[in-house]
Amino acid sequence: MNKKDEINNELNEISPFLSDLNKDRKEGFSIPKNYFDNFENRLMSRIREEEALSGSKIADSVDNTIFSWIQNAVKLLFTPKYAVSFSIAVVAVVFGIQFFSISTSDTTQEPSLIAQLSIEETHLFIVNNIHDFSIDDIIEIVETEVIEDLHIDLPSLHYENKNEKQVINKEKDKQSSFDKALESAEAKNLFDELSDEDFDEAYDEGYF
Amino acid sequence: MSAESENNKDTEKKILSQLRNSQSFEQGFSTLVQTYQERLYWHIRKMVTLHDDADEVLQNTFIKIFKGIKNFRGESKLYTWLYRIATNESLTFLKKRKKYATIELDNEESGIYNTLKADSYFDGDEATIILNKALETLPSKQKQVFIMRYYDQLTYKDISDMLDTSVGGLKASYHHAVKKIESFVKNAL
Repeated sequence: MNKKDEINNELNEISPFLSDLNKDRKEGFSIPKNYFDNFENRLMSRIREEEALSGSKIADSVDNTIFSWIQNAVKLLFTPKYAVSFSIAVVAVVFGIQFFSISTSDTTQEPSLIAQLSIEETHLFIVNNIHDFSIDDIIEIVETEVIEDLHIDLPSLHYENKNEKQVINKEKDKQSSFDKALESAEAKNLFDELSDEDFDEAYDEGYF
Repeated sequence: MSAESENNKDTEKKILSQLRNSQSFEQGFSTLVQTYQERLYWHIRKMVTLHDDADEVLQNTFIKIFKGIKNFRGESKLYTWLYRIATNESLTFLKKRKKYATIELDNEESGIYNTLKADSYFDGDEATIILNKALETLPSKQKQVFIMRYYDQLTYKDISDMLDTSVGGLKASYHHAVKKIESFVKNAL
């Protein structure tokens, strides 16, 4: 017995009345002309639009991450642990920048003025002029020890515990590819979609 | 194994092989869309009824597939996986529609009856409208099972894989759904 016969026989046993009705799922339903011919083009346009949109969102998010990373770094560097060595490094960098621009500007007095700033004044100077510092400037003067203390997710400086990563990988391998693929497709468990009414009905019908 | 089943298996194999290679990924996805768009559309259309809604849900379904297909390693049937995403997307859509609906579905003068009458992509007779109205009265899980068995002619094993429910539970759901629809249609005709 083939699949269709089996399904029809089952229906005939449960409800001969329904078995006699037309079961064509397309019955009465139509679609626009050439709908399936054009569907793929419309779909791919939408996917490209969404990719472009998520690309710009990722870029914004990276910008925000970098900015907050710099803010955190500056805050940390003014804690007693790092303040002295950092202020010396900042003065050296600022002095260096100014030294190379002496020949083209008249602000020859600024390096010496900055060199005379206290730690608090240097802090204020950096916070007020944070956008004038490049990421390279900051990274150059921040030691590895400081970066690890920050525990932050700068894309190129991602900090991750190796043991933790191994455990996560083992757990992930236990999942079937079916579930993994569903997860990445952001598909939810069907039970999440059931209403209380569905559960009540299932309970009344003795499923639980 | 039937010739149709063998053919489906070969098509799935070919698509998955193209999708695993970054150079042929786009071609593989294009073949996937062309192969399954119609079957998935009609499954979704039976769930959400209106063409415009089915079009939106079908697009959302393929976008989810596009995002997740790289992680599909073929341990289950590709079609089973696609069908499950389409079903989930339809349910999510219905849940949202129910939340924002301002019409009473059990009112004969409104609800699905008027919606179908007003839909330019529906020209069914009274009996078809009544059958669809009966479908709307089922709880969502029973409605899914009924559509998959009655219209899509799927085996309980396939439905079980898609809905992650036991075959026994599915048989019971289908039995209840058929009885409810029979009673509704008999009263309405």
